[in-house]
Amino acid sequence: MPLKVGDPAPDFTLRDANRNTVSLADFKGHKNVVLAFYILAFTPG
Amino acid sequence: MELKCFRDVISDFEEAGAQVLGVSVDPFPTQGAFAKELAVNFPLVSDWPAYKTAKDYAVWRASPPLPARVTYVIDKEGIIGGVIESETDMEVHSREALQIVKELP
Repeated sequence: MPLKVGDPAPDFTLRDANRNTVSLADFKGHKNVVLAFYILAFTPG
Repeated sequence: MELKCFRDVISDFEEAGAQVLGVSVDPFPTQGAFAKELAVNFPLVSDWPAYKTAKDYAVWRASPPLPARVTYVIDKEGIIGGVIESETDMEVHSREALQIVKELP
């Protein structure tokens, strides 16, 4: 079951293809974040 | 696929003060090539190899070992403001996420 509306979002620190790190904490207090999980790149759809 | 839909409306998210992040389980080289091919204009980040974020957000499935297609909207205070789940309608992810973002304070 995914998390629910109203739950605290777990913090994360992830890297992009250029090895830059992105954390949820980077946006706290000034930006909403849309986190889109997607399935492996070369699957159809 | 849903990333194309986000790409096409990314300026609307920017206007609404939201940062879009795509999270995959792909290793870095695959993901970089993919971002280039789709001309994605927002960060794609990798959850490989531990898949910790997918597990923390409860979108991980053991079989097949892939995350479900789920989009979370997180407000400025770090609280989940929206959850969009669809395996079949890719456009709904960006459309509903944008709507939720606009309604957040």
